[in-house]
Order: sequence, then C-alpha cells, then structure tokens
Amino acid sequence: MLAALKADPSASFDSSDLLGEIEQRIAGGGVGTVQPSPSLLPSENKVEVNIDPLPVDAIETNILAPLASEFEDSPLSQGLQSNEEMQIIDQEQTAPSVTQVVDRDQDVLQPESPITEPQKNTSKDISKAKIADHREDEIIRVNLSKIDMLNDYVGELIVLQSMISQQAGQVEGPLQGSIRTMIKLSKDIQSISMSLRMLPVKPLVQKLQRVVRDTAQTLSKDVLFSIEGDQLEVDKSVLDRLADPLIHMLRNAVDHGLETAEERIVTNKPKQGKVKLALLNEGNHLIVEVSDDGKGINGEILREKAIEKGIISESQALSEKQLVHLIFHPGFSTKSATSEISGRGVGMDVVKTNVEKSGGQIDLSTTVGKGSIFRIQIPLSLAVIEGLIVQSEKNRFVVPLSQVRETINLKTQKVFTSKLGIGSCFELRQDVVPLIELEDAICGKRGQSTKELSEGTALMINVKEQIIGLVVQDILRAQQIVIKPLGNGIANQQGWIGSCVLGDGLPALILSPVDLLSGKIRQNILSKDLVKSA
Amino acid sequence: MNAMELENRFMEFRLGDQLYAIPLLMVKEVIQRPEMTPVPNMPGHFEGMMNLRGQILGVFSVRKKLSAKTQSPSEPINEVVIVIETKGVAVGMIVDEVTRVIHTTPEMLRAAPLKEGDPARSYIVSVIQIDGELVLSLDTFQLLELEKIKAPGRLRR
Repeated sequence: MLAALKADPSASFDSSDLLGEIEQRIAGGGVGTVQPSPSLLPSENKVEVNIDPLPVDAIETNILAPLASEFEDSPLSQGLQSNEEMQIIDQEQTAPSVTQVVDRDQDVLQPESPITEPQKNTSKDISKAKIADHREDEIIRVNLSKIDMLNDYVGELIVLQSMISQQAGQVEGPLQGSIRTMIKLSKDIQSISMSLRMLPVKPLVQKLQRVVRDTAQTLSKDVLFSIEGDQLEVDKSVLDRLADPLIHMLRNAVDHGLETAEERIVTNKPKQGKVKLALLNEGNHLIVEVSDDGKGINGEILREKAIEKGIISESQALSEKQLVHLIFHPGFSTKSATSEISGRGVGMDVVKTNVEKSGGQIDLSTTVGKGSIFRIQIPLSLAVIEGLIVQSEKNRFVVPLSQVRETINLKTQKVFTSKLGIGSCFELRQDVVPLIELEDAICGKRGQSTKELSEGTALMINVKEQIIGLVVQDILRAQQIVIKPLGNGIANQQGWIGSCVLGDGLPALILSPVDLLSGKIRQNILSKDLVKSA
Repeated sequence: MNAMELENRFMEFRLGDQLYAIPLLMVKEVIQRPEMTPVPNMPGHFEGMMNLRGQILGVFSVRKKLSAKTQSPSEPINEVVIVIETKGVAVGMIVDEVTRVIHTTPEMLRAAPLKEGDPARSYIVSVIQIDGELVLSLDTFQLLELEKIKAPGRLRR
C-alpha cells in the first residue's frame, strides 16, 4: 500500500490501514517491541507502537529507517494532511475527495509558493503525528454542562481536602497514609478536571491558514504565512471568541496591510509579503500576535478620515499612538467602499469589544512602510480568573485583577470631599481622580456610606478612558477564583459577572467594576476627549 | 408507587403556628440553614446566597414574604432550608421546621377562602384538611415572585 501510494498520490487510503501495514512490516521484520526511530516518530508525541510483547534484546532501527524515509518522501504526506483537514473542519465535510484537495493545494499556489512552504513542514509533522496519535486521538463529545458540574464538585472536594489535611495530624497509623494518598489523588483529579475545558488551538490555526491562503489568492498577492505556537491549549470559550477576530485581523493584514507585488518592488521590498501569527503562553494569559511587513498604518490619513467623520476636531492634537488607535473606534473605516475581503461585518471595534469581553486587551504598534503588529492578550481560561477579594462595608466581593490598574491606600493621600454633590476625589500624579465607594456604586447611591473614604483603599479602574477610584474598606488578598454563574433566583444586574465560593466555603459575588461604574459616571466627565488616553 | 400517588404527596412545613405544604416532587433536599452571603439590591424576602456543594443558590425567606409572626423568643431557632426546583429554577426557601410528608386525597382539598383580588390568591392554591388541621398549599413560584427574577445570570464565557 505504501508503494502504491508513492506511485499514485491520488489513491484513496485509510490511515488506519496504513498504520496496520506499517505494523505488519515491522512485525514481519522479526521485531517484537520497537523503540520508534526518532526520525519517524517525534518524541513529543509520546508514542508507543505496541506490537507483540515479545522481548527483544536488540532494537533494529534499520528496518524502520527506510520505512521512515519512504514515508516522508512520499507525496502521501500531502494527502494525509488534507485528510486531517477534512476530519478537523467539519464544515468542509462536503469538500471534494482527498485527491481534489491535494490538487487544489498544488494548482492554486505557485509551485514555489511560500504558503506551501511552512505547510509542507507541518504536513510532515501531522503525518507523523497521525500515526503516533492514532490511538490517543480517540475523542468523545461531552456536554459542557457536565464538565462544569464536575468542576463544581471537584472544587468542593478540594475545600474538604484542605480541611482534612489540617486535621490529618490528629490521627495516627495507616489512616495517615490513606489521607495523604487521598489528598494527592484529589489534587490530580482537580488538575485533570480543570484541563477538560482546554482545547488545542491547532484546528483554528488550520482554518486560519486557509483564510490567509484564500484571501491571498483572491487578491493575487504572494504571501508567506508563518505560524508560531500552534501547540497551545486554551479554554473552549476563549477559542470560540478568538476565531472571528483572528479571521478579520488576518484578512486585514493581507488586504490592507500588505502592498501589491508592484508596490513592494517599488519600495525595495521582497515581492513576497509576510504575515505572521504567533501564539504564546504568558502566565495566565494567551498572547496572540498578528504581524505583517506591509505598509503600516499612516496616522495622518486616519486623522483626516476621523475629522471627516466628526470623531475628532481639526484642532485636536493627538499623538501618533492615539492616531493609529482610531481604527478601534466604532464605525471607523478608511476604505470608502467595503470590499469582499475586509468588509465582512466585523470591524476593528468589534474585534476590540470581543477581546475585551473575554477580559483581554488589544494593542497595536505600526511603522509606516515597515508593517504593523496587533497584539491580543487574553486570559487562558475564563472559568478561572485572578481575583482580588475586597472587603466593603458589609460584604466581601471579588474583583477581577485584570480590571485593576493599581491600588492606592487613601490614608496616605489627601482626599477632597465636596459638599456640592460632586463627591470625593483625590489627586494622583497631576490627575484628579473621582472616588466612588463600592457599596454606593452597587446600590447606585452616593454618600450612603458612613465610613470616611480616606480610611479605605482605592482601586484604580479605567472606565471609558477615565480613571476612577473605587473605594473599598480593605483588600483581603488576591487569589485564583473559579467563576460560577450567579445563583438561581438572583437577578442579574449590571456589573455582576457571577459568583464564586471562597476558601471558607461561603459564596461571594464577582463584580466587574468597569461595568459597575460605567453607568454611574455622568456623561460630562466621560465626553472628555474620547481618544484622550486611547 | 405510581406517578399519581406521588403527585398527591406534599411536604408539610411550619412557620410560627401555621402549617403550609408544597408538592413533594419539587423538593430536592432539606438542609440545616447554612451561613449565607447577603446580596445587594434584592427584594426584601431575599435572604442571601448559599453554597450547596459548589452550586450557588439564592435563598428566600417564606416568613418575610408572608409576614408571618416570628417565633416566640423562648423557642429555639433551628431553621431549615428546603431546596426546591420549580420551572427550571432551583432556589432555597427558609422555613421554621419541616414537619412531615402528607398524602392527600381529592376530598381533603378545599378552595382557599379568599376574596377576589386578594393578592394571596395567586400563591395559596388550596387548603388541605388533614387530621383536624388546616394546611395551606402554596404555589412556590408565585409566592417567591420568581418570575420577577430574570433568567439566572449568564456567565460571561
């Protein structure tokens, strides 16, 4: 079969048959248990080729070596990749047969097309992984609510476990050992249950590859698309939310970012444009960078457009950074006509909103003539956040750490309280920061709290480009918080994200200060330059 | 036991001197009143939220809703929470004591002697006459005004 495939790459095949054949060859060679040759099977896939458990003293890699090279050189690797694509992307189930997919790959792109270059590498990796993961890849679909329920129970188990481990010293004998084992087991169970929501980014990346390829093709641009870090795993919901923004940004990069081949030659750039997608793990965050080596974003053009649309006034002085951030403004587009490529509904403002909804941030740096880099920072998991547990007058609340810019102890500050109903404020690095007490912010009233604001701690929150100090009595601690839905029978209110169970087993509300405060600030404070600190 | 018989069974509970009943099928469990976290901006009969083995539930006080008399100070307070699930909403309700499970027959049920327009008509379904006592059968969903509570807060995922 291997030989047949080598001769005719368009032949249809089944990867499990192939695996069977490879196993047969290995077995036929008189080798029982085989240590896979590194050239055939990458070590990171934790491969075990299990054949007859006959003990063998010497490992004959020379049988595998030709097999490996035969396999790698065969055009089959291309075919395998296509097969993989079809399995992963179920929307493409109607896609033509393997043969046609292979043909498309080869026809559409010029033989030395850069897009195929990185793909060739991955296709080899995938084909190897295909064999390796054949058994590990078995997947069952599980209802997400079951997983969430499991996580709930495991969370309770962990609380119980910490109580038991505190009392473990009181018992003696074999029970101690059992308790230790149980504690270890429950920790293992926790880490597994937390990882259940995590999905590999690879299928998304493969979809994006096709997006770039098709876009480049439509625009007749020569694009080298490279990808870094497609081995990561992120929370399912984060992955879902990331998909549309990334498609939009990559289309933008190819359409608006990269120049046409002629323009590139005039500006002494290689004919082929580069677009890069990089994913990396940074603490609890996923960093996604989309960069291109195109023409960059010209702030002056944006300024003219913004003045034309009445977003900024002519006299308004904006820094270069503020200018380029105008593209995140709702309804802002420099293209007078919407194109088929980039005019597909979502604009950069939607991208920004989507990212921020997931607790992330988006940033942009660009150099005219050199290219642009969009950088998205998004929490790896939405089910677990870094939270700040704060004490208000009557209650404990949790605030996502990502929303808090800094905390200021007001005891060391001079707090001004106005009798005119403007409320309190204090001066922070030449800025006047209004102060709002947390309970007041929740109840929508002002000046209800009996405590002096100057006794508390202010959390600096950035609300619609305006810094507001949210005053709490005390900050208890920062810790990882598992987000649960607001309980049944509890009305959802603006600024409430959900609830959680704290270490002592008591529930607490998780608040989003940004949403909580955005309804409370009077418009005149907000209408200050929208782009002032963009 | 067939389904009909199950539907005729009620959980009876006490608030002060009065006995009440709710359909047994909606009761998930009864637990001792746990420590609760207050929640701002909620109706007056809302007590707080509790942690039921990892699930967060809103808890309501039936006493506050019915403005029932409080227990005499000499009586030990040992309130319990009945965890109920009705129309897809799971909440807790605080009562003084769960007394028993009663089995009703159609002849034990009486219409509640309430005037037209009495707000209590919406949540007092009927009066159960049993062992010489009168037990008020309640529609919990109406009683706790659960329809006013919007759909449980959706997690931002």
